[in-house]
Amino acid sequence: MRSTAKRTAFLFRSLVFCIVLMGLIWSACESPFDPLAENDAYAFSINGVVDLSADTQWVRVMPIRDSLTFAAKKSNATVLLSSGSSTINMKDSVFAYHPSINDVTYANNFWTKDSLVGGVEYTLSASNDSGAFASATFSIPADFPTPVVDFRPETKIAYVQVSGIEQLVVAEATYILRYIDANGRPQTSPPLTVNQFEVESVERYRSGDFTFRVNDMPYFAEQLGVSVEGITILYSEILIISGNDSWPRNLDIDDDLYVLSEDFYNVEGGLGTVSGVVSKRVPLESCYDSNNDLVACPTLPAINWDEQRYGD
Amino acid sequence: MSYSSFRISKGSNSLVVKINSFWGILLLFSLFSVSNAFSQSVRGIISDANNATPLVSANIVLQTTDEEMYAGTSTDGNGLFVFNNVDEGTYIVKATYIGYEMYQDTIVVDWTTDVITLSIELEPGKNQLGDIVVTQRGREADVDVGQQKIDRIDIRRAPTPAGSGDLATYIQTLPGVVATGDRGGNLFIRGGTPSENLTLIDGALVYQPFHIIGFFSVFPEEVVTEADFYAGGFGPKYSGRTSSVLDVKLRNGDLYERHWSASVSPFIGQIYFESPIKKGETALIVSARNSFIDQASNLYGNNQPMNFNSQLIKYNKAISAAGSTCSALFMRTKDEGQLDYEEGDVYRWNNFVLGGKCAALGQQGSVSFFDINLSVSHISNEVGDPNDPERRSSATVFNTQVNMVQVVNKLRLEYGFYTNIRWLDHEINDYFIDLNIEKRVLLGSGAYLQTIIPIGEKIQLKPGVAASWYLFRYGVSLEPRAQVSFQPRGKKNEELSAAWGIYRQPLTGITDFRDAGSAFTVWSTAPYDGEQMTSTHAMIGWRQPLGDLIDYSIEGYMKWTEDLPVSTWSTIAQFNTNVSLADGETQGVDVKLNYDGRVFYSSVGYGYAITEYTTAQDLFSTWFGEPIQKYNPPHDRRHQVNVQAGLDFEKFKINLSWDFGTGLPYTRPLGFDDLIRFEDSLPDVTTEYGTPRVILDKPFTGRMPEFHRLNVSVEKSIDLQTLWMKLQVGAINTYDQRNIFYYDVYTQRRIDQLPFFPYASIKVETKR
Repeated sequence: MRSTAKRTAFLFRSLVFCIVLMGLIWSACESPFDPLAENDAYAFSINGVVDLSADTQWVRVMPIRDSLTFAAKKSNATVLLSSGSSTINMKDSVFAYHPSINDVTYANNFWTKDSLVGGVEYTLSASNDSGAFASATFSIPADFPTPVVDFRPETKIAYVQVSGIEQLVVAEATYILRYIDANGRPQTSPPLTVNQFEVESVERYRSGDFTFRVNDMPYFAEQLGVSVEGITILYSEILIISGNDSWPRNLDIDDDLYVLSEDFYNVEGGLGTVSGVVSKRVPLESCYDSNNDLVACPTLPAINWDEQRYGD
Repeated sequence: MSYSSFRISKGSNSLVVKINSFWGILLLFSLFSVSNAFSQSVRGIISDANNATPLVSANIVLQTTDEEMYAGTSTDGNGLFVFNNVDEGTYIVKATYIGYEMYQDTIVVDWTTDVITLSIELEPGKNQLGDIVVTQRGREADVDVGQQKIDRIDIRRAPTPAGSGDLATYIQTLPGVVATGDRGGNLFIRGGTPSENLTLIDGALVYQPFHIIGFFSVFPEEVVTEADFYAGGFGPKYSGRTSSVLDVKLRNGDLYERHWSASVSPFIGQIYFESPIKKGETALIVSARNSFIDQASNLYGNNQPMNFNSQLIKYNKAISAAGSTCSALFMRTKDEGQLDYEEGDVYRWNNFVLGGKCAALGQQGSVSFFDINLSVSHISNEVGDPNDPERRSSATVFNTQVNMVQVVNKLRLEYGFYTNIRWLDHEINDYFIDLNIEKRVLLGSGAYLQTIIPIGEKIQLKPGVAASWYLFRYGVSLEPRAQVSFQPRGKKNEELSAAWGIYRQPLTGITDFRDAGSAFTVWSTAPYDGEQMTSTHAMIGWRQPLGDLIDYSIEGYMKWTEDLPVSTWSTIAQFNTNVSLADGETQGVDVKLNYDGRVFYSSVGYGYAITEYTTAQDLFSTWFGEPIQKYNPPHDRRHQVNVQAGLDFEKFKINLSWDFGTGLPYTRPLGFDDLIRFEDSLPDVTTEYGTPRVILDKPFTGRMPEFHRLNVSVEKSIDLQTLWMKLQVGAINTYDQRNIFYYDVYTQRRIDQLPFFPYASIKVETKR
């Protein structure tokens, strides 16, 4: 009886010893941890607009990377913009961005200065030596006449006539204002941009010929604590962009759906959106011809407001 | 063996404990109370003479005057014994409990006496080892399937980086208990989440009993008499939680002598003090702990910015001649620290518990025993910037409960009533944006009944039901539960048992467990004003001794849970989420093998579990083409092995524990890109970088590496005449395994658990 108990105890001790020993041996084998899942669904992230009115087309083409940050390097991707028998080989360019004072990050933007044709379907494709491939097919709308602006100085309300527009996808006004603040000092605002789809009853994706009203001064008067009459408009412009079905819809959805749903991308084999547009940027003021008839003002170049300096 | 070293008080048949009209109404309410349905009855409580702690599973027999056995039984969890239908005559009463002197007295049962009540106090005997009573412990105990009895020996044997053992460290060695890391204080029991665990301290709720450093809880070994741990299948006495119960009985202060201890280690310093207030009548225990790991870890060059402190005071009275006693407790805790040491949010939580309890023998009628509990429990937790936390939540409950034991012939009835009011408050700043109610009051009440029906000599059936009702929130709900046990050879420790029950939880604790790295919980009622979370448990188990020193148990279980709040799936790697409801299913097997020799002791546990959630969420159809998805939640540890072993040789103790667990699920990133949005304007890629984003795979399809760790301690006791000095050296993660705590998919950082961490501790304590 006693020897049985001893034998049992010995066996149990041996069992524990073996288990711990196995554990120690196991500990010598560090388990690898590669957190990334194999990705064979998305090769490139491609984003940008191809603007018939722009002299240079810029499209972001980045491989789906394995880290959050991206070091500055030339992409080994080949990016082609083709339509029918014509093909443009877009050129790579590394851009540096500064999301905060101490941070810098990089991205590959591909560009071309070749002229494009409105009303034509294009395919933008990206590929690399390892066989990754993604493409986006989109069409560029036909050109449309420059919008005509009828600005009423007494009310600071403008009426914008557009015609031949395929789908109105962007309508935004930008201002620089001068006003007297509560301390009686004159102030000059930075550039203030107002999305007209949010302020007035301007219908997004509307097509054809129509006129819409731009009446932003009451909003600024309330924000600045002055009367509409107390505001002087130093600069104003309106950007009108005609798009088509390649412009993403349902833009107010939350990020979750936006990220994964292919409904919001036109890139196959990757993520992102490439859209064809025609843009017109005109002063928000009335222009007249020699007969004193209201006509479209000359279009304005795009301004990088970050590089401008305003104020006293 | 001395027959004279006892103190005895007989309450005779006088109504010493006045049962007031309220309790009289409650007794009348119990329709099964048939006051004259018995003849003479002998009942009483057996307790420790020094500190009035009820002794569980103590043996008591009635012998005739010629010392022939008349009847025998053992005490229940309250230290209560009852003999019903005792014939008139003179009897010798003998009470025994391992580690105590035997008690013997003579009683006379005659027609003038309906009930004889005994308050038996046993004197600690010579066969003690320090302050630890040598018993057969759980091996002989009457435990149900899913239940584990834990005493101070168990707690002490788990290597803990402190001068004292801790219940938190021990519980993590049990199969079926999953800790997602060594910080955060979250334990997942058999597939349930931490907020589904019920922790009671002398009957009072503790919302978050575990400290931010996972080795420690509010229960150091000094303050614990014993704990009942139910991994599931628990009876109707426990309600309001759907996963597990940890019912801790605090130590009573010594009524005659003063004791104290003090210890310090790099992790923690603690003092314990125990003293009579009025000798033989009232006593007090005081325990205070403060962590040092934040400061000490700098010496290791591996800062662990976590701090906690806790204080516990308990006041207790002696058991009166009539078998009544009262106690009161106060406890508070404060935890603060970063789970992600490098750049994570600061988590804070505070517990506050104030409780009082009175228990008494019923002097007349068929109610043998009753206790009354009053308690206030509060938790507040917050996360974010320490000076301006973004999210906070608090919950307070005032609870009153009455429990009764009634024995009618051979039928034992356990029943009770409770009423509670809860105040819930949270401010979450869009964290869980579906929870739009900031403050809520919840008034509830309920009752339970459980009977123990012996069927022959070998089968015992325990049917029961819990009923609850919450004003303006949930209707009346019934939770039927049943346990059955079969002892084929009539031995308590050789038993096939099974349990089934329905469990409901009025409060849900909602936590963003997408990355298991969160310790912030919002306590709220069911989201969307839905139904209570409901869980159904079914389990079956077998336990058996193998010889004198070895025993084993094997249990299989299944749990089905409905209306479980989970984080809504998101592909955006940010720590905010919405809440959705899921159904959960867990099935598993736990096996435990114990060897309990005098010098060498060991246990080996293995747990297999699979937990799967099923949830329907709005975006699933768009993402996956299917509106319903199944997944394994981040606490789904498939295999777990725990080995504990120790030597207790003269004044040396060597303890080790080795824990192994397979990897926990996490959501794998497919890659990264930058989100360019088209909402308002013409995107210009030459000036806009976009928003960096992670492209995530289906949630929880990845598995982190397995976890394993060896903890070792060596202790030497030095006799200083009236004191023991205990010197301990040890190490956490002895072979420096790199165990992952969680992986931050957004910043691509793995946050690891403690590396190799040697320590030394010193403890000085009075001899008992």
